[in-house]
Amino acid sequence: MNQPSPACKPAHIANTDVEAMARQGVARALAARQAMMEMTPEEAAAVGGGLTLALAKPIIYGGLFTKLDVMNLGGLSSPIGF
Amino acid sequence: MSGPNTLMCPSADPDGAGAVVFGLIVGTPEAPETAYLEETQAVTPELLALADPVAPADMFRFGARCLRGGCAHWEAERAVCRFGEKTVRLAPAVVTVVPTCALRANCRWWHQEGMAACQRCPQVIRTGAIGHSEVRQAADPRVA
Repeated sequence: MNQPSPACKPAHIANTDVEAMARQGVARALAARQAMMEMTPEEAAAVGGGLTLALAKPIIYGGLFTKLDVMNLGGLSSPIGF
Repeated sequence: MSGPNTLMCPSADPDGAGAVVFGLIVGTPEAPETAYLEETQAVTPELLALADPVAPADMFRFGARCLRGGCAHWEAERAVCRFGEKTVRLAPAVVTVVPTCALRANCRWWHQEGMAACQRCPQVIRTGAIGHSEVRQAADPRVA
């Protein structure tokens, strides 16, 4: 795995600067949103072992969680041969 | 002193239990990164309004109480957060100097993964559809 260069230092911000920095960051966040890539059902199936789940939110990060809606169980087969 | 049941998730929602802000997302749309606050800050309506019209998690990093078994990333058998574990395994280190982080003392990932998590944390964006692909993979509970 590539290691970061020694110049890669984390950014820090004073609490008093949060408001000003946040206002500047809205444009960045909007641009990121416009460029975002959602997983298609096919991509979700590829990483989900054939069970397609539609997430009510894009991706589950830490914290909880939203309801999972099972969209397609038709491809499942019983491993014990009912 | 933090006990195992009082640790904080560093990739939480603003409405999580005990939620605080510990970072602001800066950088570019292609390469967002976290700027760490000197001190954690309370989540207030005024602060959340700063993100309008985007989601607060597009703008801020929130820490909140780790839900352990209430979270899809929790592996009860080993009592570990798999999101933190996978972030260390899948995502590259992006800093050599560990950030001065106001959440660290209580951070689940720090307690579990140590400095390796902190070297990768700046690239973690909770809003999963944006940000770095390795982090998106780590954040997907379906990915082993």
